[in-house]
Formats: sequence, C-alpha cells, structure tokens
Amino acid sequence: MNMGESHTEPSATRQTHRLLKGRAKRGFGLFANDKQRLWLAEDHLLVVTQSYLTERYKRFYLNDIQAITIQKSSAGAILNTILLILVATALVLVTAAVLSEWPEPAYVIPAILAGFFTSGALINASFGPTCVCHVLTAIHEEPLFCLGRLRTALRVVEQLRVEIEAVQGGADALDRAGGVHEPSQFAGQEMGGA
Amino acid sequence: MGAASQSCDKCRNRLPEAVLNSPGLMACPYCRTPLQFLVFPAYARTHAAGQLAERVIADVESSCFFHSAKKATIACEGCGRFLCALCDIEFDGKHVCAKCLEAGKSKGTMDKLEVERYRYDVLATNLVVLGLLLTFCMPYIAPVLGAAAIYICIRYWNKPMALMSPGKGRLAITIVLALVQVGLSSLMFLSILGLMFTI
Repeated sequence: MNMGESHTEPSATRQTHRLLKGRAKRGFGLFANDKQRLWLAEDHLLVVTQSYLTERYKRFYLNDIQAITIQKSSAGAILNTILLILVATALVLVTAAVLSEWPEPAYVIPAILAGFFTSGALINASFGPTCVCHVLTAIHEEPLFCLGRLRTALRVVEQLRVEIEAVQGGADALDRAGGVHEPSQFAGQEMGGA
Repeated sequence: MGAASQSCDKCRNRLPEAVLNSPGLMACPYCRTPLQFLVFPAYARTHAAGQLAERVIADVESSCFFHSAKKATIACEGCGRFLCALCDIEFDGKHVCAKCLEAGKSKGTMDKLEVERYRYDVLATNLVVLGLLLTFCMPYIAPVLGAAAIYICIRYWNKPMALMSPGKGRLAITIVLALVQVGLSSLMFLSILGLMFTI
C-alpha cells in the first residue's frame, strides 16, 4: 500500500466532520488574534485555531478524552459593568452640555458614544453569561475559548458527552473501570475549602 | 481545573464526587461558582504496558526489518516491511512502520497527522483589502499590493488551503478583487500624473 492511499481528500475531510456551534476571537490587534472552531468527526474532536495566517489543528480522540469542564466566569458581567459606567459617564456629559447650553458637538459626540456603549452592553447581555471550558486528556488540557458563552457551551458539551459516551460507555463503564478515584499524587491532601 | 486533580479552577479545591458528572451546572461547594465537570471512563482506564518484541528462535521465522534478532509479527501496510511488536505503530486503524508514518507526515498525505497550515488565501485577501483601502490615498502602492495578491493566488493555487474549507472560491474572488483594485488604483495614479503634467 502506498501511504497516499490513506490520504483523505480535503472535501472528504469536510464531509466527515460536523461543525459545532461556538466561535470566538481571543485578543485583537497586532499581538493576539486567535480564532477557534470545533469540528466533530466520527472518532475525534478537531480543534481548529487560526492565528493570523496560520491554522493549527488539534485532534482529541473521543476514546482518549478524560473530562470536559465548564465553569461560569464573570468576564461578561465585568465587561457589561465597564460599558454601563462608560454609558453613565457619557450621559452625564450630555446632560451637562445640554444644561450649560454648550455648542452642538459638545453633546452630540457623548450622545453617540453613549449609544455605541449601550448597544455594546445590550449585545453582550443578549449573548448570555460567559464561561471557561476545557477538554482534558491524560497528557493535555486544552482551553476551548470558542465556547465562551455558557448557553453555547452547555449545548455543545452535551452533544460531545453523547458522542464520547457512545465510544467509551456511560457512567456504568466508569464504575466498572474503577470509578472516580483519588490519584496518588493528591493522596493525603486536605479537602481544604471554606 | 484538571482531570487528575478534579479541582475547581477558581478556588483550587478538590471537588467531591457528588459534583462530578452532574446533568447541568452545580455550584462548587467551596466557592459557589457554577460549574460542570464531566468525567468519562477514559479517566479510570489503566494504560497497558507496551508490547515487547520476541526474539527469533527458529531460522524459519521471519524477522523484523529494523531489528533482525526480533520476530516479525505484522507487515507494514505502507511499505510491506516485516515489523516486530516494537516497530508496529497502529495509526488510524492501520499498522505502519515509523518511516512510513514520518513520510506520510512530511508529504502531507496523512491529513490526520497534519497540525498546521499556512493560509496563503488569507494573506492574499488581506493584501487586496489593504490595497483597496490605500487606493484613494496612496494609489502608487495599491497596484503593487494587488499584483502581489494575484501572484500569491496563482503561485499557491494548488497548495492545500484551510483543512475544513478547502475550496478555491476565496482565491478566485481575491483574484477578481485584486484585478479591480489594480485597475482602479492605476487609473487614479494615471489621472494624478495627468493632472501634474497639465499644471
């Protein structure tokens, strides 16, 4: 057999992969600009990260995925708070300009800015709360920043859970395999906490 | 948050078993952050030790191509060489040797081994967009950018583009836009030159 035989044509690659919901940019401008998308194949999850002109691929075989985590984050709430503070500041400027009868640009510009920040806050609120999502294998932990919104993350992770359990088995398979045990390196460590 | 530590990312405390594999979000018992931690059977799986190659005992036994003293157990599906248990690599449902795997990776014939691609189509599109933005303020630079974009499109036409959107549509559109941009900026440049000579 020639190794060429195992080559999958790009169009075939697309046909065998299903695009999952969720897309996001990490950073902006000159220093960081990563875009990520998730594709689900029959036996693996393909994480495509585009950074400027380079596209990187990471394949997580469904049989190797040990855990998927979602944790609600406060990034969205912080962003909305900042935007609302900016809206309030712009509105104060508009009010001051109108009351003091300043010339027209003095209140038009803050009014435009207030509208801009308000729409930003509304768009951010409409996307829902933010979260941090990771996929974990025995040797690697990959942040899935394209699943930055909780609503999308829950939907996609549920989809992934079904596919992974179809390959690895469900909760009973986990019990048969020994269950969730405390790894030796953490043995004796205090449970800690509040 | 780690699978090995099963800990909350925020407070770093180890999560109790009741929190794991919850159907929806559950609050971390320590910091109250809503989270979902799904653990799969692969977590508890113990990894079998790698197979050891057996020694050739009788002369009639085939030996490994790479280790003549070891017994061949399988033939490489790439090149047909006999392999011992140590040299046999199972990849994508096939048994291959390390050389075939390396060749497949370097030649790009095994796209499951591909980890990176350079997006020439994005580079060309960016050049055209930059050229279009500069058409009216720097008409002498814009045609160069357009020409560079056309060169990139033609030069890398046969190169594989994005893994998941491999069509040539983007390159074709870029060429058309680049031609329009070169035409526009050349016209602008010539009209500026004409104006200069008229004055």
